Amino acid sequence: MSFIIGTTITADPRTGLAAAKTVDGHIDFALVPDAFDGIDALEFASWLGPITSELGLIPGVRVTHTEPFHVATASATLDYTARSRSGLSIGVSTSDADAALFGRRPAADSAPAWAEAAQIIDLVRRLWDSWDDDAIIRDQSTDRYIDRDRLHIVDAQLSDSAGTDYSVLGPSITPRPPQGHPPIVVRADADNAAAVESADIVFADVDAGDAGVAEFTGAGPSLDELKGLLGPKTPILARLAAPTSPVEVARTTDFALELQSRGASGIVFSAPREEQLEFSIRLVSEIVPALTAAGLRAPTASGADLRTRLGLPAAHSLYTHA
Amino acid sequence: MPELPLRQVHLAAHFPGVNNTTVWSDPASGSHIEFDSFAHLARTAEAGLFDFFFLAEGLRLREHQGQIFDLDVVGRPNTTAVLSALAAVTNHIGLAGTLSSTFNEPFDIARKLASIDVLSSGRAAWNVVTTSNAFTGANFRRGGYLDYAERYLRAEDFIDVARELWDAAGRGPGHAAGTTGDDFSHISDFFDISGRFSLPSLPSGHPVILQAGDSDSGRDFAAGSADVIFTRHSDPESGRKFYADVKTRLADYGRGEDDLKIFPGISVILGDTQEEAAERSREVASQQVSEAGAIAFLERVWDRDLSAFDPDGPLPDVPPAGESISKGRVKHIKDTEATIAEWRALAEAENLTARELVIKVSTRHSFVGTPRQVARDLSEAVQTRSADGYILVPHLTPGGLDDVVAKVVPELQELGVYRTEYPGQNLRENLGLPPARPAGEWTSNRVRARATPNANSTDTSPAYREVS
Repeated sequence: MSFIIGTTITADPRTGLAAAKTVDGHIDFALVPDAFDGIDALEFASWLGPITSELGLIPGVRVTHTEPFHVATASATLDYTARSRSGLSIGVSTSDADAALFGRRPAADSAPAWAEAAQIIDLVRRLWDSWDDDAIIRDQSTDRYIDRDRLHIVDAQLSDSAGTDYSVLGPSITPRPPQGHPPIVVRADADNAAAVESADIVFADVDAGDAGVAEFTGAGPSLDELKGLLGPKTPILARLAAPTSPVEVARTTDFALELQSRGASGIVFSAPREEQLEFSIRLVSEIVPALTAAGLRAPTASGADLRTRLGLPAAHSLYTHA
Repeated sequence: MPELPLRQVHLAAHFPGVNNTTVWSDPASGSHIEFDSFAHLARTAEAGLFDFFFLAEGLRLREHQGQIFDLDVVGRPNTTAVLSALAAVTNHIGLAGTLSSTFNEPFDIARKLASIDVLSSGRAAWNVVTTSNAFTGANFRRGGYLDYAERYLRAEDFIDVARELWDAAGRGPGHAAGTTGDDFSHISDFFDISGRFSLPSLPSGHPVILQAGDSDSGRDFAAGSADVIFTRHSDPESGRKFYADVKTRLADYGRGEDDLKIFPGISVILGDTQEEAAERSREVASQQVSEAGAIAFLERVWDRDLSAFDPDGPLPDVPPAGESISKGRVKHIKDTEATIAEWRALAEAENLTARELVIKVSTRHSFVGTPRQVARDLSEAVQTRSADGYILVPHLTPGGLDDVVAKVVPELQELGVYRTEYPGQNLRENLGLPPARPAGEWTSNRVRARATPNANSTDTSPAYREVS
């Protein structure tokens, strides 16, 4: 299994586009964060879909104040427009500022917000699965476009971050996305064990440290704790500040080897918006060739879907294989 | 006396919807979900110099007699996600999407549309609809939560908020009165929101607002809030009445005749001769009404199960029942008893089977003829102020407008009523709309117009319809 490499790209039509085109075909995915500032990450990733050809596109979405049904249909649609290269990074809103943008309920505490997010992860997958892959039949002998027995009511009962119950009935309006389940990403944090356990891919904050030894810096569990929690099936990626100095860049291969020995499946780099384009060039001209030379990365077949790039098995429907 | 310049025809393209206008059984009918279909239609329309591409929205699958309706196309993508992707594969054409103001929040919608406007360099448009019912609400946090009148007041307020946010884009923090560091603050009967809207300035100022008002109060709503009306008045006669009525309302709102464009939705069927086009129209109509589809159509009018009746026999000889059996679509027939009586008389006079009757009453194509004749008819309708432009609704995905673009557009150009290149830098300019006015102007003009006794009726709850 090739060591996975992703990088953060801010939703910006100039530098974001240039960075995405630079890394397309060289790394596995771009993570497009969304903090309700700037351009909407799902729209930006949708726009990048037809412009890129190999790059996985993983937009962030904060689910505390938004509608899960729209999240499910928009992410399913991205999987069509990006030709099976989409994922979805689930986050929550806990600030007063986020709450005020929507004006629906007060700012959420972290624990109930993540509890709802875990429910929404399950709901989104159920909405994706609410159409079987073969639901569209176009049967002229009976004049039927779909076989409605191959569509499924979801009827999920959820509780929002303020403790109010709500339900989402389904089915989705959008047929099942080509990947079935576009990979769902959760960044390990305090209070989000349930969401982490339901994710396809988990990010863990890591600091390279002065001595180049991995230190786990996030509020969440360490890499070792995560391995214990998740077992071997869920790839864990180290979330790491993009190296800037020549010394740091040169050290990245050793650092990747160390991370791999400790159970990490890859690295997702993050850089400030103004450094992303420069870093994307360094990534494809220096870092990835060095990782490849060290035997960490093998070329992925052109046209692979994102699940395959991330080493995930094909996704079975929660309905037809339940 | 100098001749007046010819009024220019504008065109737009509607992606085929989830109703029986769309023929899925034809061998040329492609996918309704793969991106290539959307890209094909949008690029075709752009090659034809159309103002915009139009995409409807689905929020819940339609039901019929308590089950998902399976005879028409079912399923669609998320509206904004497709428009954003189309922004990447087109350069000039406007990207219009239907989005409910009921099951969305203003910050989210305003930001998504602003994102599309930035990504497309000024081509975003929003067809504002309200969603009527608990049926659709079952997929959303709020459920079915507003009564009829409130829904529409909320929609008006919703558009105001969106425009306030768009005004805030690119302005930097600290502009909202009485706040420290906020870009906007809106407190009303429906919303209490504030914060930053930290997007770059929008290339078009404000995304174009479309609206599908038809009732008296719906027309006032459009006059007070919209840039474009999408209407069902496709025949020139009723179009002219609608056009005159709507345009005369604009002055009350401080707007000129050119500030609100009227675009009826139409179908076009072409042939090399008039006879061939008429024959083609009959064939398409027959495709649009399958045997099972004919019975389902009658069931929606009769509001009862008619599966025991033969579509190739006479109209069902039973009276209609009371309760609606169809969910998720708008019923256009107001007086069921009278309509059925009229159809019985028509079927008897012309000796029509049930299916033939349904074809006759449900599939009239708006413009049928040779490319030259259709171009002349379209121009005539625009010259006589029946419309400013037309939204073409093809029956085939994705190639349903290939012929119109290849054959009718050159005829329109020959007549001197159609552009030979895009005239503007963004959708607003291509439509011939004035630059975006600040949100506050819309609000104050509306308040002033409605404070005037003769300005409009006392009913402030416009009747909308959802467009599919």
